[in-house]
Amino acid sequence: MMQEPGAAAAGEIPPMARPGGQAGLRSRGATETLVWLGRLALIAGLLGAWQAASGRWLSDFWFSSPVLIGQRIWEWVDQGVLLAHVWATVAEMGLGFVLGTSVAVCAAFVLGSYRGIAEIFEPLIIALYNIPKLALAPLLILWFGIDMTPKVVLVALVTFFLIFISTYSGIRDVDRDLVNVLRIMGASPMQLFTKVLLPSSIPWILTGVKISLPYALTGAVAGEMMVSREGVGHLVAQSALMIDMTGVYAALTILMVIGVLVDTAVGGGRDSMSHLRNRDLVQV
Amino acid sequence: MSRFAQPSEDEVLVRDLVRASRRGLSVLPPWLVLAAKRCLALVLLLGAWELASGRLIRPFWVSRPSDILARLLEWALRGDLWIHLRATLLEMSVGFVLGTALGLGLGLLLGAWPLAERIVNPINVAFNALPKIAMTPVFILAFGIGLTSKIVLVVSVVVFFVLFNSITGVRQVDPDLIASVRIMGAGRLALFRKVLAPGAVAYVFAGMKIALRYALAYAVVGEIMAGNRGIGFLVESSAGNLDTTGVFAGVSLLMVCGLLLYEAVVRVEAFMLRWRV
Amino acid sequence: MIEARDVYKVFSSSGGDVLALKGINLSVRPSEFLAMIGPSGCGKSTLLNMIAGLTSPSRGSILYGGQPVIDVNRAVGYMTQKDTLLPWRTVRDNIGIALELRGLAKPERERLVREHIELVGLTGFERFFPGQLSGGMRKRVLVARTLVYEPETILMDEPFGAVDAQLKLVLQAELLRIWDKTKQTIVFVTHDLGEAIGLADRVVVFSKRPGQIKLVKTVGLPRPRDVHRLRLSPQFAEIYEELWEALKGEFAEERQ
Repeated sequence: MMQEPGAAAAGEIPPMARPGGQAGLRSRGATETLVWLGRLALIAGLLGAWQAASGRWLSDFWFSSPVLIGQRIWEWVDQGVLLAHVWATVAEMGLGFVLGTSVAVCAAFVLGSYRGIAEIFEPLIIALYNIPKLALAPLLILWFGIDMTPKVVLVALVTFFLIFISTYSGIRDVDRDLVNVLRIMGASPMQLFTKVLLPSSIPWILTGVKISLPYALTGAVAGEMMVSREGVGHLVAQSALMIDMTGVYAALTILMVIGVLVDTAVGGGRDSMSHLRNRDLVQV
Repeated sequence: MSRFAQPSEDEVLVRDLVRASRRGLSVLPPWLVLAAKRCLALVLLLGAWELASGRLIRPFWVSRPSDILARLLEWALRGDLWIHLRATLLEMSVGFVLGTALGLGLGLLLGAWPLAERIVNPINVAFNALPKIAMTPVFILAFGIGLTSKIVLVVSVVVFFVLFNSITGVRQVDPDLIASVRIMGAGRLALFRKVLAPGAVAYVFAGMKIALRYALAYAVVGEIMAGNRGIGFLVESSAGNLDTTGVFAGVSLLMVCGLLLYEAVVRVEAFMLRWRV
Repeated sequence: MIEARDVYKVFSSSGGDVLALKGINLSVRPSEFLAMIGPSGCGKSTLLNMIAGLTSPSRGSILYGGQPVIDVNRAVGYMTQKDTLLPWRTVRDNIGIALELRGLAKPERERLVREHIELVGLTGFERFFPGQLSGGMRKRVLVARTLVYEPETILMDEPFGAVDAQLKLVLQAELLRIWDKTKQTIVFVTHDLGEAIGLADRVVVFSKRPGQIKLVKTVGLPRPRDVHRLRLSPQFAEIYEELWEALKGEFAEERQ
C-alpha cells in the first residue's frame, strides 16, 4: 500500500535536520553502511531474541519461533502446498483485477464523455463508493458460493472503484481549450476519443492500477479467510481454526512476502497516494 | 447589482436575453432541474428493483427496497440497530484514536530522525505490506471475539497509515522554514516542537479522512470474520441465515454511516482549517 | 469575410447573469489583419469564440463568408495563450495533427509538415517532445500547427500573452513575415496596445464590460513593418496616443 519514505535518501534532508549536524562530516558511503548494519542488527536481534525467548519465557505454543516457522514453510514448499495456495491467491487477484479494470475503464469513459448522465448518477456513485467493499463479501458468498467466484468478484469490486475514479478524474481533467482547438481543426468525436481522450487518460489509468493492486491482494485474502478451500488467506484461517500458531505465522510470513513483492512491483505506491490523497480516493 | 431604484437598461436587457434563451423546462433554475433528474433516476432504479423482485428475480437473491426499509425500521424500533451501531462506532473510534496517537508519535519521531527511520524501514515496509486483515485470527485468538480484537485490528491498520503519513509530513516541511528557525538559535528539540511537529500535523490531518474510512471498514470486517456485535456482525449473521434482506439492510446502514462520517469530517476539517484561504 | 451583426451575449451562471457583449457590429475584410483590444472581461475573447463557432450570440448573428456560423467553424485556425500541444506527440506529429484529422495521405502530410517546420524556424527539432522545448519554441510549434492546414482565417487570443518582452517581439516579427507570404485574414486579440498597432491593419477598441465597440482605427503604417524599430517612429506614437486615450478611460473606471 505505501512504500518506503526512507527511499528519499538521507542526502535530501537539509543537513541541519540530520543527527550529528554538520553537513558533509559523514560521507554518504559511511552513512549507507551504517544504515545497512543497523538494519541487519535490528532484524537479527529481534529474530534472535524471539528464538531465544521461545520455549523459555514465551510459550512456544502461542508464539512459535523463527526456526519452527522456517521449518513449516520448508515443509509446505516441499509438499507443493505452498505453490498451490499462492497460485490460488494470485489467480483470484489477477482475474478480479482484470475484470474490475476493464469495467472501470469502460464506465469511466462513458461517464466522462456524457457529462449529463454522469451528473445525474454522481450521488449514487458516491453512495456506493461509501460502502466498505469488504463488507460485501458475505453477500457475494451468498450469491456465488464458496469457490473462486466470490473472491474474484470481490477483488473486481475493490479494483473497480479505485480505477474508475482515477480514470474518470483523468478524463475530466482534459483541457477544454485543447479539445476546442482540435474540434476547430475538424476532429470528429471519434477522433477526439482516440487521439486525445485515450492517450491523455493512460497515466491516470496506470496510477489507478498502482493504487489498486495492493488492495486487490487484501480483497483476495479477505475473501479467502471468510470461506475457502484454497489460498494463502485460507491457510491462515485454517491454521487458526486448528490453533496451529506455527502454521498461522508461517502463512502470515508468506503473505508478507507476497505483499512486499506487490508493493515493490507497484513502485511509487506512496507517491501515488500522496498525489491522490486530497481526492480522497482510497477506500477499502 | 444596481444602485438605483429602477433596473438599468442593461439589466432589463440581460433579463430579456436570458428569458429568450431558456425554453421549456429550463425556465427553472438549473440546480432544480438537476435535483429533479437525480430524484427521478433514484425513484426509477428503486422502482425497477421493487418490481423486478418477485416477478423477474426471486426475492431470495436480491430482496426488495420495501422489505429492506421494513427491516431497518424493525431493527431501529427493536433496539437492535442502536446496539450494533454503537458497537461498530465504538470499535472504530477507539481504534482510530489509538492508532492515530501511536502512528503520529512514532511517525514524528522517525520523521525527525532520518537515520533511525531508515534502519527501521524494512520492518515498516514488511508489516505494511502484510494485509492486516490476515492478522484477524491472531487478534481474535489473543483478545476474544468481543470489541477488543476489533479495536486492535483497527489500530493495526490506522497506525501504519498515519505512521507513513507523519514521516512524509515531517519531510515536507519547508527547508527554508527550518533553516530560518535554526538561524534564530533553535536547538533540535525546539525545532521539533515548534516547526517540524506542527508542520507535519497539518499534513497528516489531510489524510485523516482516509484513515477514518479504514477504521470503519476494518471494524466491520473484523466483526464479519468473528464477532457477536456490530453492523458487520448483522451482515454476516444475516448471510449465515440466508437472509438477504438482512444483508442488504446492514449494507445500507454501512453506506449511510460512511456518508455521514465523511460529511462530519469535512465539516470538522473546514472548521479547524478556517484560517486557511 | 466575417461579420458581426448587432451581437449581444449573456452568460448565465450560479453567480448570476452577465452581459458580456452589447450591440456589436463589426466587419472584417478578407486578408485583413484586425486587432481587438480592451480591458479584461470586455468580451473580446467571447467574440472570437463566436466566430470560431464555440459559442453563439444571445441575440444577433455572426456571419462567416456570408453564411451564419452554426456549430464549430472549420474554416478557421484558433490559437490561444494556453499551451495546447499534445504532450505525448513529437513536434512533427503535433503540427501534422490537423492534416491527420482531415485524412490527408501520408506523403502529402509529411511534405506540408516539413514546409511549416521550416517556416517557423524549427528545423532539426521534428522529433522533440513539447516537454523538451522552451516556451518560445512551443509557441512556434503552435503557430505551425495552426497554419499547416492553411485555414482561410486565423483567430488568435492573446497568443503571445505569457511570453517575455523580447521573445514577444521576435514572435511578432515571425508572424508578420509568415502572414506576408500567406495573407490570411487574421483576427488578433491582445492586451498590449503596442502589439496591436505594430501588427494590425485596423485596431478595434472595446469598452469594459458590457463590451461595446468604442473606436475603430485604421493603422496607416506601411508594410513590411519592422516591429523592433516601429515603436520609435513618430507615426506610431501618434496612433498610440489616440488609441490610448480611448482605452485608458475603460481601465480607469475598472480600477474603481
